[in-house]
Amino acid sequence: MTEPLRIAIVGHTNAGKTSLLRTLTRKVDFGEVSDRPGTTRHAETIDLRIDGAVAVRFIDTPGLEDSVALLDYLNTLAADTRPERVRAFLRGPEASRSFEQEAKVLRALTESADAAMIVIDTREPVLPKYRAELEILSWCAKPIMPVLNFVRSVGTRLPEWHQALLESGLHARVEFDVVAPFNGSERQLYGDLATLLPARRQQLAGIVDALTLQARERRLAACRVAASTLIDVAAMRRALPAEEFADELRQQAFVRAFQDDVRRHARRAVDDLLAVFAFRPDDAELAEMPQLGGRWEDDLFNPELLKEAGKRLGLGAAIGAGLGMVADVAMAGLSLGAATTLGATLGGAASGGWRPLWRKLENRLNGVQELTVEDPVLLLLADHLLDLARALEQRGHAALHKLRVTDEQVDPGLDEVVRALGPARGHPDWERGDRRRGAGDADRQALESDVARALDRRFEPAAA
Amino acid sequence: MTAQPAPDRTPLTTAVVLDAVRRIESDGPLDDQAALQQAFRTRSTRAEQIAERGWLLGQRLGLPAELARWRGLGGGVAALLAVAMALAGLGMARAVLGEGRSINAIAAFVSLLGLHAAMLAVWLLALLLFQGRWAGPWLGRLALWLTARLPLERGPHAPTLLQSLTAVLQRQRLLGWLTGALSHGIWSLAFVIMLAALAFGFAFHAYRLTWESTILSAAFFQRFVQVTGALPGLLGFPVPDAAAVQSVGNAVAADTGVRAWGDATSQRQWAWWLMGCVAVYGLLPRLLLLALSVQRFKAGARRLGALEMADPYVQRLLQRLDALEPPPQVIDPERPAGGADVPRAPHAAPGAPGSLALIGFELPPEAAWPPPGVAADAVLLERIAGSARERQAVMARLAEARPAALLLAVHAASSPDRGTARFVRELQPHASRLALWPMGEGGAARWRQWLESEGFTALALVESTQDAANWIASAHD
Repeated sequence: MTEPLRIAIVGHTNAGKTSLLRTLTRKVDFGEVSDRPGTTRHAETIDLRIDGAVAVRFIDTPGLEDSVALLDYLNTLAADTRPERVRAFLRGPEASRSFEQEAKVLRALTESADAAMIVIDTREPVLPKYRAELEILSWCAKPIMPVLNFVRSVGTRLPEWHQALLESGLHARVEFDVVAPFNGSERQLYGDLATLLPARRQQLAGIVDALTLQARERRLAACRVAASTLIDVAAMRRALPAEEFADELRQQAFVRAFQDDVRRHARRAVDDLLAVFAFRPDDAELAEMPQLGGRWEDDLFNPELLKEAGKRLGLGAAIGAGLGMVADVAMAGLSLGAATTLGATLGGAASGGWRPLWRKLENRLNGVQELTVEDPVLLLLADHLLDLARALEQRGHAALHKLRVTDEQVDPGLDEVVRALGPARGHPDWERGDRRRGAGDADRQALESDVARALDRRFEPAAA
Repeated sequence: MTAQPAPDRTPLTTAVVLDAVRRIESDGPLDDQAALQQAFRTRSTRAEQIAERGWLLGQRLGLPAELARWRGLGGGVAALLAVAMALAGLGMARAVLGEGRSINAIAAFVSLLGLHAAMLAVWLLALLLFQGRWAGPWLGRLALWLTARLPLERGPHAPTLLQSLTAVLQRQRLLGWLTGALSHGIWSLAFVIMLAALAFGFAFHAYRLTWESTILSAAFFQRFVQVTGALPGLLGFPVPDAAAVQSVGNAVAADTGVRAWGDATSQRQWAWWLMGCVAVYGLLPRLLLLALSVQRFKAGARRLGALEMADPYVQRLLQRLDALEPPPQVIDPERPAGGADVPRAPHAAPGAPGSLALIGFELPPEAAWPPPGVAADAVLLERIAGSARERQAVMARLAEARPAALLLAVHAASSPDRGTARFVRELQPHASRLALWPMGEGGAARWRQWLESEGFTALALVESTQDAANWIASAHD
């Protein structure tokens, strides 16, 4: 087995070292992240494991805070070469006194790392202390990869930093927003490291491949979560006797209960998506995501949004008015035995047996009304879940692309997904719930794969 | 834990057990801590660990044992069904037996092979139309269902396991081949039984094989026997010739019994023809298809095994396995009281009362300097980016100017660091009053916290231009 790559993560205090490590290792609970200065005061290792084996061993270090004075001090030391000076400093008394924290950084880099990543907050001006940091690190004679953080923030001074890095003799660099990394920038990070560590090129390529595969698997798993929930909601069917339906109060209560069930499915999908991307529901970094606030679940039955979604599906303004049924606000997004579901039931009968169709006819004869979800709700739900999955994949900050579902933002390509959900309408038994094994049905699993693939095709926002 | 007699662990049984465990877990998680730990310790890759965990849980639930029981039971069920099929065939043949010992040979041919031929046609058609998606012939499915449902020592999870088996096989497009193999196997067995019964009957009873018809001619029967007998004939079965066919035709209707009996040779030929047809058109194709189904099934089962990782359930398990990895290790611990000890310069002689120095430290280039409305009358107004030379220069000029009060402006949004702390300590001897002014939006609270934690109790903190003006003015009181 090859030795794991050892990389020291260095940088000024609060540049985002620990955040970078959380992102790279996908461990939301690693270290302590806060904007209090100097949160990390010890050197700590954390492993990136691929399939259980250590691929990269990162060393989280304290901030190199007093660089100007340290550089001054290093210059006073008598030694032939610069690395020699660094070693002399580490042996000397000041390494455990004035510059104890800095010594930890340099010790980690010189003694236990193959390379360093220096995390730079590009919102900061290029001050002498940062130049001193770069200079001291370069004295350790280890490859250094600058990681430019906060590159998408308003106050970023990217060009100045590019210039400063060139002046310090650092020609490789990677732009990496640790909280909201670009898609694939993690892979680029390792790819670029290979230029600094030619001997480790193959190993790094292996890491890049494994990470690509993992990302792909996570995305597909997320699509399956969304697909399964969409099937649940499409399969939902609740019967209500005619006399109860005539009573307006009971009808409203019934509709509300139905909508609550839809929201319950949506929440379950949110929890599952969080789990797929290794987040906890109460994660600080997620706190600002509007998708998680629960507000969007109400959007699913917002008549305005439904109308727009209906237009996307070519349904015109006929939402809630399926086949002679009364459309009122309370019924938004739900329909009573509309023709579409009957058609779907007929379609489903071929594969799922005739029982659903028979029961439907029986209900018709007995005057029992059946409530189902209309396509626009499915479209909105699919759109929301996909947006959430994209945001989680990017670990996005809400501020960067705030999500509000308006008519422009519903992805028109998703009607393919909604159409694919047709067979689920004929299978009320496919809805997952307490003590129900709906999910295990082979036909349902096949449909889940189909819908997941359709969602996957719409995953890249650029494709919209 | 005692080691159970391990039932064979093949890719197929593993996949089925994993699927069943997953189904059982969809009702609520199982207590898998021990299994997860054991899998984590004993297997190296994540996929193997997840499979091992599922297998261990399955063992606890008795799933592999249940599968092994099916394997034992399956043969019995198949034999039972085969006997039933054979009896049905023979019974039908019996129903067309004539009075006494007379057998309508052609009707016997149809009743022995008719059902089989019809089902075989359905099987072939479905195979062509639905490819692998077809669940297979009903006979095979019935055998599978019976095996799982028979109450002999049935485990509590048998129905789930059956669902899993069908689901796993259907996903791999193998279910049709398994049920096909079962069905062909049952039919093969049934034909063996039929042949044995026929051979026994013909060996020890003197039957009279005849044909009869109201509308068909003797030529038709001659042709029929000739065509059907061609293939068995190739294998050495005797075939009744035209004369023999002619001689037994419409025997019952014939007025003299002598002709109808024909000669013994032709009767023997008739019996061999019937058995030959059952063997060649019944047993042989079923045996060949049995071999094909078994081969396809085994080949498919060997391809099985790779765990689908792009799955929410698997991803959750992956994360739980990741959590078992050793936690991050501190390699260079924090040492308490490692505070920087900057040499304290003796306090300079106090400057002129009311004199003020304003120093901007590490301010961003776009910050307005000097800050409008403050310190127009400062004895020293300096802004430095923080290099060592600048710091020394400022110290020198401070020593010269000797201000009574010193206001240090820093960038509020930046993090306070120990470099700043060092600078503050160096400034302290140069003025009797010292205040820190974080300029710009936000971060003041962080700077206040920092002043406390660094022990700069003598420093005031001003948060706005107004504050700063007040602080400067307060010196005059």
